[in-house]
Amino acid sequence: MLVSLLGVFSAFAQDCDASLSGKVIDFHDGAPLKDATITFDNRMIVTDSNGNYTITGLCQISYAFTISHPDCNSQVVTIDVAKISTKDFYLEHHYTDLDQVNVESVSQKKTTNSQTEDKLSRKQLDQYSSLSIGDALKEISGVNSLTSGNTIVKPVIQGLHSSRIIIINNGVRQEDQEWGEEHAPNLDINAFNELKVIKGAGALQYGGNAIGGVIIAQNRLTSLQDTIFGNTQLALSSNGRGGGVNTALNLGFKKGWGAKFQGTVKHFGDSEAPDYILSNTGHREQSFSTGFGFNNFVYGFEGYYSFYNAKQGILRSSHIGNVGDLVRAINNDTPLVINDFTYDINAPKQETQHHLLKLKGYNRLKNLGRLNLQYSFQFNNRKEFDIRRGDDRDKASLDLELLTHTLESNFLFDSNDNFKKNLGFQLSYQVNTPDPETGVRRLIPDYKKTSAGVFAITEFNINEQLTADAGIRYDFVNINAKKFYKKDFWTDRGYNQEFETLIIADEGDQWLTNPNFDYNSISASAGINYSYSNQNSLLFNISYANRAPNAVELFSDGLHHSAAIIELGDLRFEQEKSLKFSLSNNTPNLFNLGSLTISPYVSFIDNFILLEPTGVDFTIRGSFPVWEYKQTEVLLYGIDIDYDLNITKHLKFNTAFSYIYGQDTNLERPLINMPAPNFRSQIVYEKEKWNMKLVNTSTFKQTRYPNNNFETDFIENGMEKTELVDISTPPEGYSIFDLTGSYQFSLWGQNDFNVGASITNLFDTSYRDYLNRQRFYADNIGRNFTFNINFKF
Amino acid sequence: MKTMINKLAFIFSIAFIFVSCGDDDENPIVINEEETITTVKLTVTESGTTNSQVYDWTTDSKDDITLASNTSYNIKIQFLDESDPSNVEDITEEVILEKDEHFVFYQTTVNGLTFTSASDDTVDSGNISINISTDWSSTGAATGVIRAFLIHEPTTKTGNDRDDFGGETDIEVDFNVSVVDPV
Repeated sequence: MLVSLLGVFSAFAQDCDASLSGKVIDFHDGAPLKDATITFDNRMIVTDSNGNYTITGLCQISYAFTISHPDCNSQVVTIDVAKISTKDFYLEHHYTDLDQVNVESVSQKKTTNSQTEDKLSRKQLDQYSSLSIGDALKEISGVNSLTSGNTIVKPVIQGLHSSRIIIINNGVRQEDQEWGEEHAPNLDINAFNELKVIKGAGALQYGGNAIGGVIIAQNRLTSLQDTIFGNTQLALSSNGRGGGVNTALNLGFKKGWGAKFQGTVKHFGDSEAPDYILSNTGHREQSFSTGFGFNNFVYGFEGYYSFYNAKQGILRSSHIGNVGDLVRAINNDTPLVINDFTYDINAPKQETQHHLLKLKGYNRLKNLGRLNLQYSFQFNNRKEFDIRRGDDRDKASLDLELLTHTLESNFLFDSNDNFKKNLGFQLSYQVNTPDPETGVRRLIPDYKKTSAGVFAITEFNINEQLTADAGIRYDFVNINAKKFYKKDFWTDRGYNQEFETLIIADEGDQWLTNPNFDYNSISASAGINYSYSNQNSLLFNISYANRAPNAVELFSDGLHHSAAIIELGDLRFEQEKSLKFSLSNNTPNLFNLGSLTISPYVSFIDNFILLEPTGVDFTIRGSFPVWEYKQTEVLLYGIDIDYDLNITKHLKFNTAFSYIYGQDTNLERPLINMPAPNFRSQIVYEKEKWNMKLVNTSTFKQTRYPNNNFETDFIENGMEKTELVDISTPPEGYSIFDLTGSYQFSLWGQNDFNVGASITNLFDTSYRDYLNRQRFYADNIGRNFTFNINFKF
Repeated sequence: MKTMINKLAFIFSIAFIFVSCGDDDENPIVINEEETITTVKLTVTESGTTNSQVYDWTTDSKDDITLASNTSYNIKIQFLDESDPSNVEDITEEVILEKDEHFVFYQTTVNGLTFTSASDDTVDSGNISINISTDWSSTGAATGVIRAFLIHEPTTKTGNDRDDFGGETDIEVDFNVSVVDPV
C-alpha cells in the first residue's frame, strides 16, 4: 500500500517512460496464463493468450503490482523499475491444495475420482456439537451406526465397521482400539471443519485394508489474510440434563502464518427413555486441539496437537453375570435396574484418552508437483470398569495403552492436469501394552505391530467427459505378540500340534507364547468418472483390498462380559480379501423434478472373519454360549439412493434410502448386524434469517438375520424346564421425527449470533434398534429438547 | 527452502528411528486372576449332631449329595479360590463383608426338600438373612438337583424364584441330590 502510494506521488515528479514486460505463468505446470491481470496505481493490464504482458509509461521507482487470475491466488510483488525491465510472474493455480482460505467453505474437490463420496460441512456438524461423529454421519445415506446406548456410537459404512473402516483424524490414521464393537472413535466432532465418507477401499493413499471405507475428518488452518475470528457454541439438552460448550479461535496472517485453538467440554447425566431413566448412562468429555502453520505457494508446514478425554457410563442393567440374567433381561420390558436420575457415573464405565501430535511439511517443485512429509504420534489409553468385588472394586478390568508412530510421505505429480500421479509410503510402529494391574487376564495381549505400505495412484483425463483412475498398493504387517494361554485351552484348540514352537515360558497353568506373524498384501483400485448430457455424472469403481486379522480375532480366549458369551479367536486366520464393484449415477436435474443419485454396489469378501455360536460351556457362573471367530465367504450388496427437490425457493425436500443384503455364502445364511432398510427424509424451510427443518428417520424391521438362538434350563416350582433364548430376532421397525429451527441475529457483525432449538424424537416414541448392543436391556432414548446458541466473532 | 524441508525430514526420521529402537524385550508378567471363584463347598450337617459331610463343586469334579429322608440338615456354603493350591482364598469372607450387596439362593427339583435361613445365618443391614447358613428338611425318598446361586447386587432380597431377585449371577452351580430312606 505504502509503496503504491509512493508510486503515485513520485509519478508527478519524474520522467516516466520506463516499461516492464514478461509473462504470467502457472507455477505448477509452467503454462502461460491468459487473462491474468496486473493492477497498480488504478491501472490494469491484461495478459494475452500467451500470457505476455507489457506495461509502459512507468517511472523509475518501485511499484507494487497485484497479479491476479480468476483461478489463482492473487500475489503482490514489489519491483524497482529502475533496475528491472523484464519479469515473469508465477501464480499458484491450485488454490484448494493450500489447505486454507475460508474455513467456513467446503472444498468441492473429491478425494477420489471414481469412488462414491459424501461429506458434511461445518454448518451441518454444528447441529451435532454436543453429540458425536457417529451421530452426524447418519445423515449420509448408506452410513448407519452401531451403538452401545446413546453415547457410544460407531459409524457403519454399507454394513461394515470397526477394523474394516479407516478414520483419518486431520491427516493421521486414527489408532484407538477401533476393533471393539463398543469402542467409539476417540475424537471430538468440534475439532473438524468437514467430515467426508468414502464408501469403499479405493482411497489407497490412506491404507490398503479399508474394506468398509474411509472417514476423513479434516480441519484447516486459515492463512494468506490478516484475520482473527472464532466462535463459541453452547448447547443445553433436556435429556441427560446437560450440555456442551465449544470455543474455537482462528488466527491468520497475510504472510502465510496461521494458528487455531479449539476446546470442548461436555457434561451429561443419565439419559431417559420415554418410560424410564437409563441408569448410569452419563457422559463427560473434554477435548482440546491446537494447530499452527505456515503456507505459501512453494512450501508450508504445520504442527497439530489434539487431546480427547472421555468418560462414559454403560447402562447398569446391561451388566449381566450369566445366561440366566440375559434371559431375565430379554423377558422384561423394562431394565432390571432403574435408579433415580444422577450425574454420577459408576461401573460399568469406560474412560478413554487420546493424544495426537502431527508435524507436516510440504514443498512444491516448479513444473513437477508437491512433496508431502508427515510424522505423527498417537497415544491411546482405554480403561473399562466392570462391577467388581472387594479390593478390586475401583480397579479397571481392562487397561490398554496403545502407542503409534507413523512416518509418511507422498509426492503428488500434478503439473499435468490431465495426468496426475501420486506416489507415497507409510511406515508405522505400534506398541500395545495391557496393564497387568487389572488382575484380569488380558483380553488382547502385549504386541508390537510394524507396518509398511507403498502406493501409486494415477488419474488421467481421457477426454473432456471421461477421467479414469488406477492405483496399486503393497502392504506389509508384522504382529509380534506375547500372549498367555491357559494350558488346557492351548491343547483344546490344537495349538500344541501346530504352534508348539511359539511357547517361550511355562507359568503354572499358563503358557507364555510369542506369536510372530507376517502378512503381505496387494490392494488395487480402478475406476472412471464420466460426465454426460447436462451435468449428469457416472462413477464406476472396482477395488480389491486385504485386511490382516486384528488382535481380538487372533487372540481372544475368554468371557466377554457385556455380551455374556465366551469368545474364541484363532491364530490360524488369514487375511480378509475383498473385491467391491460400485457404481454411482447422479442426475442433478431429473426432468426439472429434483436431483437423483443412485449408488448400487456389490462386494465379494473371502476369509471374512465373523463370530459364530458353536456350543455351550459350563462354568461356575452357569452355562455360557461359546462363540468362535470363523472365516467364511460373504456376499454383500446394496443400494443407496438420494433424492433432493427444491419445491419453492425456500422450501426443500430430500430423502435418502439405503438397503443392504449380507449373506454368508458358505453357510447360506444371512450376516448378523446388517443395517435394516431405512429412510431419512427432511423438509427444510429456509429464509434469510431463519430456517426450520422436520426430519423423519424410518427403519424397517430387519428380516434377514442368522438364527443364533439357544436353549437354557431353569427351575420353576421344583421342576427343571428349558427355555429358548432369543438373541437373534431383531426389534420391530420404527419411525421417529425431529424438529429443528434456528434464527440468525446481527449483534456486532453480520449474522454473528445464531439461536436454535431442536426436539429429537418429537413424539417420545419407545423403540429399540437392531444395531444397538443394548437392545436386549432397554429402549432407545426418548424426546430431547436442545437449545443452542452459536456466537461468531 | 529445500534445505529446510530436508532438515525437517531429517529430524522426523531421527525421531522415528529413536522411538522404533526403544525396544525392551522383557516378557509381560503373568496374571492369575484373584477374584475367581473356583470352588463352591457345601458343608452339610445333620441337625442336632456333628455328623458333617462336605461336597465340592469345581469345573473338573462335582460331588453328589446324599441325604436321608425325613431328616433336618444345616447347610453352610463357602466360595473358594483354589486357583493357586498353595494359597487358597476364602471368598466367603468378602461376601459376608459386603453382605448388603450379596444374596445366596437355592432352587431344588427334589420333591419335598425345602430350606429356610438358619438362626446363625449372616444378616445384612436391612435385617435380611443372606443364606450363607440354611436349614433344610427332607421328606420322602427322591432325586434331583440343588442349584445354588450367589447373586450380586440383587434388586430385592425377597422372593421365591431366581427371577424375583434380579442382579447379576456370580455363581450358578448344580449338585445332584439323592434323598434315600435310612437302611
